[in-house]
Amino acid sequence: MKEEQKIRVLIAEDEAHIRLLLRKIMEQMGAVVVAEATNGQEAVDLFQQHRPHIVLMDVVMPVLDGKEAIRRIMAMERCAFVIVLSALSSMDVVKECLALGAANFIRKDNPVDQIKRYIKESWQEFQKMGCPYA
Amino acid sequence: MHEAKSGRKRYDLRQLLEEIREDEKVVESRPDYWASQDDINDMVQQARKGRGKAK
Repeated sequence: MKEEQKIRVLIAEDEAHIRLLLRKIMEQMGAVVVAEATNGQEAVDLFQQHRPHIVLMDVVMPVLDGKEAIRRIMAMERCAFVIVLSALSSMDVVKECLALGAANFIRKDNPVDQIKRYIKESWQEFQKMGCPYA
Repeated sequence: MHEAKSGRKRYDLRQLLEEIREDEKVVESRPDYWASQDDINDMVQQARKGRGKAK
């Protein structure tokens, strides 16, 4: 597949080893990681700059947390496709992220194959149904 | 936690243990606090249905 046809991904994650893991996962899935953010503010800025198809967003990050970053990204682009990947999975946080417009919430302690499956299913669902806010 | 001269982070294990015990108290007092992936999947389905209706 040509580079310009690939699904473009932004990874927002403050832990370098998790960023690397997510990059490998997305590359194995045939996507291209166009940018990596180490905090929520960078995520918002890089989203504005690159307009990726998929954003993988952590919740607990310095400067600006993932929830506020989702809020700002959704305000910028109502049809942004954001998947939250987090170790912090309290009921309240999950509800809040989904209410902000996140397409899915994946716990980081899932096996890699399961994480891939959730990302793939969510993306296919989004492609099939279209933007819920369009 | 503090940083040694070498730049390596040093952790106070006693303090970490205290924090873990405090966290355990929270978890025990609120069994419905954490969402399993199955709980999350149900919540995602509900959210999708809600968005579908709003469309």
